[in-house]
Amino acid sequence: MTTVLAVVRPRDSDIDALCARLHALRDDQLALIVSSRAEVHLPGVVAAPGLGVGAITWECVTDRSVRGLLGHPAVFAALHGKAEVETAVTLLPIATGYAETAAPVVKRTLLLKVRPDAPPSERERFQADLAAMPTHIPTIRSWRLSRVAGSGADRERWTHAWEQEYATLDGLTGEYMINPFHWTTVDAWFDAEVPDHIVEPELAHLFTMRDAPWSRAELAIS
Amino acid sequence: MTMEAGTPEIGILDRVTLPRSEADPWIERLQHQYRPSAEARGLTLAGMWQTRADESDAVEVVVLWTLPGPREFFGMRATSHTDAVTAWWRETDALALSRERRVMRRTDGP
Repeated sequence: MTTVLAVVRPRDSDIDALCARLHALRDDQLALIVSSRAEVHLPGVVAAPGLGVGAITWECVTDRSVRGLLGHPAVFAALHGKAEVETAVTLLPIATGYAETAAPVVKRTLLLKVRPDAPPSERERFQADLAAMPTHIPTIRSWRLSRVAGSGADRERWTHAWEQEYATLDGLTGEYMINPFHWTTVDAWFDAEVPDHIVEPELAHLFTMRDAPWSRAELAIS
Repeated sequence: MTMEAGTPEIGILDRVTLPRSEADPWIERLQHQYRPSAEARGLTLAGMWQTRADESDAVEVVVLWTLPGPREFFGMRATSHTDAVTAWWRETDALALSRERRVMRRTDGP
């Protein structure tokens, strides 16, 4: 099984109907979709036009890569003429962590691109710093750090997805942001004024409410 | 400078090693080009020092900036990708023998 992560925008502004159609894909016997989470972006997300407010994050566990999923007749029927897939990637998880958390939670996704000329040793240090954040920042509950594979225009757009769940939005907008490990250590990889930064300026900082947190099993199969 | 209760002051330390002949002109340009835009982004220049470098014909310029706290830091960071800032460091890196920037948490504050 793999997880496909997509940002989808409804054409007719009926975002609830789009979420319902994507949720319903779980019931399609032929699509082989294990879980389908479609969650509306909350105010405050920061992303390029099309990816932010008014769009949703669709997280789909399936036996297909992103091309196979979007080309499946059931998925095509749910989206065609009704929504735009603004970006979509297949997750290739590097590390995960599970923490039992009461519902609902806030799910945050950061999509980013590491510069192609970044040395492998620097990529590994960057990944290690991201994966260390839950150790330093107690409001991070379950989390997943992945390399990503896109197709078409998304092949070059992103290299990593950094996902976390929080018990409250304040856990993200408060402790996550003000914790010194974030701004003394992790942010240096993103800061264009730091000579050895490796992350490109374009980011998609997305967060949603989530009715049911990740289960341990869900993270394990991703 | 406002200090949020319980949040530390942030220091940003730039260490730039330059050919000795280039140091004074670079400092002059920093004062007139980079500093105004940095201050507009919320940074305060706490001090600037010059010291020896490993090479005899080079000097190290040490520049310390401060910010009241992490929210001001990320406010500053939100505008750190502008063309002017990018151009400043590109021109500096073309000149500098080495450079580093460290973001630091104050440990002797309230």
